[in-house]
Amino acid sequence: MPSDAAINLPLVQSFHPTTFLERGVALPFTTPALANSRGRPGERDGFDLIVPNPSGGRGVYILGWDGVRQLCRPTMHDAHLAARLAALRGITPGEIRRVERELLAEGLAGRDGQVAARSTAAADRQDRLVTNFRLLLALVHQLDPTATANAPPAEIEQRARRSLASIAPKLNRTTEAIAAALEDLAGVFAPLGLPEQAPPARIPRLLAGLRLVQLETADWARQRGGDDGGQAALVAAGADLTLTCAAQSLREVQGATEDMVGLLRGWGTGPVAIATRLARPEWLLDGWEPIILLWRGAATDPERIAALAEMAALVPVMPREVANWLGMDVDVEALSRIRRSVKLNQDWRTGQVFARIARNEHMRALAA
Amino acid sequence: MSGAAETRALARALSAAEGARIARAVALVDALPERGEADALIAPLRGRLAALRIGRRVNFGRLLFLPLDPVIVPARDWQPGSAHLPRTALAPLIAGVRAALGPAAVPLCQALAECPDAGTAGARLGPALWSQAVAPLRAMAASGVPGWEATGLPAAAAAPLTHGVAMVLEAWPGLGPLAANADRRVLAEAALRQAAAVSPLAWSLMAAVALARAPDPVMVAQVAVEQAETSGPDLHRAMAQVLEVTIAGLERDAAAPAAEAALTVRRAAQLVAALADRGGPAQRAALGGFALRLDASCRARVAAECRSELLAPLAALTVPASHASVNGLEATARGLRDLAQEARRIGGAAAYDAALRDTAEQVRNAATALARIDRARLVEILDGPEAGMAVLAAA
Repeated sequence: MPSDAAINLPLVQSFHPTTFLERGVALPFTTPALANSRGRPGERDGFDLIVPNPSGGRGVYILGWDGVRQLCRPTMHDAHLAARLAALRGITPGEIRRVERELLAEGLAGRDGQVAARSTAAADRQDRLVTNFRLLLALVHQLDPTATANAPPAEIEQRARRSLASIAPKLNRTTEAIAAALEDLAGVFAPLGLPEQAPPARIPRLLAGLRLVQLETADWARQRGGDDGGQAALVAAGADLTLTCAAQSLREVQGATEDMVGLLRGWGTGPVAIATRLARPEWLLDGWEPIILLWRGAATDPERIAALAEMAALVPVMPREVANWLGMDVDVEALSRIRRSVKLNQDWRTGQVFARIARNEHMRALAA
Repeated sequence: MSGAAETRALARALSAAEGARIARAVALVDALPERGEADALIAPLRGRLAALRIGRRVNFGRLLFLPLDPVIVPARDWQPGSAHLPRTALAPLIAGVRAALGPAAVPLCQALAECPDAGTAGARLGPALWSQAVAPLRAMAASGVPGWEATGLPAAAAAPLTHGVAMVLEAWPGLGPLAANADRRVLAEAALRQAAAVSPLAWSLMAAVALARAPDPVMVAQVAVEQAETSGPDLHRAMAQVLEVTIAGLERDAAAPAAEAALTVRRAAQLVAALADRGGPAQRAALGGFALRLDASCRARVAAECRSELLAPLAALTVPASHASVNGLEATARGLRDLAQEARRIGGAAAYDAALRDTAEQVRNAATALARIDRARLVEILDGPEAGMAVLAAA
């Protein structure tokens, strides 16, 4: 990596994004120096990268991919990721997940990632089918409250066909178009799940994982002082704020399935607006998965202390837009105040670069 | 075959064993009331223990002396005044502290039984034990260590060694790897100054332990050298002892598998750089000699292991290459690259570049069972992402 003095780039002293789009999406780079980097649509074209100051100090660089090469030597995986980002029309957590899975499946992050991506793709197809069935059941039940999910499959199928046929004219659509809309909605709802769904879908699982991290880091902060105690307190506070917001957002979007006819009507006239709204829980949780994985991967207290230093540096900034999204007051500044008081130890950035790349690849495989 | 030779032979056999056998051997050794030299059996396996995530059981005595691990030597290797702690001295000190703590030791031992590994035990239970042990150790130093005669050590060694142990345990929570970053230098200066007031031996034990384990060895080295330079001949001699112990420890740790050795070489390079123009001619000569030996051994090792650990297994791969074999090759390449990355701080940058590039070239051209993406990744690890991309582009 070039020395700081050799970096001829403007350093943005503080990073307080107002909107989620401005905050960008956490990018699954494997190069250690690019940890915690985010991507967002570029001001003119392509994409901008928001890269934390590699010296470990406060502030970020906002730069294009060429600028990144002044900061570090990105891995092959990261170069391919950047190339695909440039071809994206929009940078969203869902798109980044999709692209990353492609890269994993190609083996760019190693054999473990390749296996994980292939098995997750199969599981996703299954989830989508199951979600489609659940949405259909919800529709049937709402139109005919006497219908139960325990009815014989032939009866459910018959009732479903009747339900689709009865609402199609009301929505001014064909039965086939309604069935296709349900399939599309299943794709959007598969990671969110429906209320009370068991086993839970990906986003509720992520929330449960974050809840555990919040409890354990809060406990750690209570028991220990020093740098790691402060870092644990920052992680716990960030997780707490995110949990409050993401859980409410998830309840809202899952609640949309309680009016399936309304949902289908809305999907027919403005699918993009609905998909954008349904993506909010994922935007809110964006950037937390690596933090959860770091904590889970630390088996001993010394490993947890090292992990906390890294986790604290990864805690995402919460944009003020969250208050508009949720229609309530959210004190996003409280997290910034804690962040300013915490010493962000940067020792983990140095040494064993290749072992850290392997660790990052392992985390990508776990998150596939 | 002598006892030591038998131990070495057993250790070699164990190092080639599979994970479950290693775990059983470690459990057996850890269950011994006095592990003593049985530790030598598993010492060469430290890297694999971490990789296999095999935790080490910790008993009262091991936890008590955890901070002093780097300076503990077999009694036959100990000399009066050296910055070492002879292993036979541990038993009476452990017994004395245990007796002094009385019933207070019981909940600690129960908590220890639930600790999965030494690191967690050290973090959760160590600070309390170390602080409680200081007073009984000082009392023993003043009035005599019960059972010292069984150690086979001179009676005159009991008090200074016990004092030294007490000093290290008292200072360790502020100096060790779990200490907060704030004021580390101030804490190190104070701890070494207090140790110097007790005896040069206490100072040398403190400095040697801190140099081996503290998160910032360069800072510790600077503080130690400053104090030695501004003090009398006793601390000059003690500093020479500290350096000898530190160099021996680094040379021993540098023999670990490449990935782990990289961390040791990094520490060594930092120390050599920080102390290169400090101290007297003897210190500079010792450091210079160490740097030369480390440089030569790292160069030879990277070149040899590229052939034996990478190219030879690569040639022996069968079609299709298994996940385990590909992951193993990548782990080996990463370890060698990390080792080369750290070792070039001492010298030989061009030699490492040439060795790794040559190996990458052979990987690129080898007739092997590797898929193109696996080959590209191996080349990337050895020679950089551009070289890996070239392999993919050649498709």
